Amino acid sequence: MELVKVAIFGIATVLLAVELKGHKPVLSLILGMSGAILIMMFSLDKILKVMEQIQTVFHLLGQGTSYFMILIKVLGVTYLCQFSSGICRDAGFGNLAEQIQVFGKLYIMLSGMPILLAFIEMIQNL
Amino acid sequence: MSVGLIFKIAAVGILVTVLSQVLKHSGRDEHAFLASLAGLILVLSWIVPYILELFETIRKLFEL
Repeated sequence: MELVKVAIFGIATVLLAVELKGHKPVLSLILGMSGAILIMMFSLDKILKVMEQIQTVFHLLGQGTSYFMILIKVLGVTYLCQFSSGICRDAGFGNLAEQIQVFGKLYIMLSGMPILLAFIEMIQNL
Repeated sequence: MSVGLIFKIAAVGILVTVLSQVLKHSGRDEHAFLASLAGLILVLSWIVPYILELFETIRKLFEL
């Protein structure tokens, strides 16, 4: 049922935003952005549930879960960069969106480095 | 949750458009610009808390 709500909400927002685009492009962009923000907040409690499930999986796994934290951080970085670059692309600034994506990728690569190093050390110790 | 926000923003947009048209036709262009600016600032004041709350939630959730 929630899916239908979100879908209809998106369509309503787009219709209003397109109508406003002719008169006030800035307000139509803000309308699109606020629609995206509301849908994202709506989906956040789903993410919260997923996070709780992941925590229970951690308890079952016991040790060796330190690198999962990086995985969750990377998930957050992609989510955030995707959101902001999408808004920049809506406004017509493709290059700005690309720069945000590039920064997100670099940030992920940086935060993934320790895993790579630990892996290589493990191989050397064999 | 706060679907009314979308309709409020759309309403402000339409009202500001009509107002600026009226002001333009009556010759007062500066007032038209000021009216649209005021509408923009009003909408921004509504939307900024939502942006802040969203980014704070994401930051706490993913421990960024």
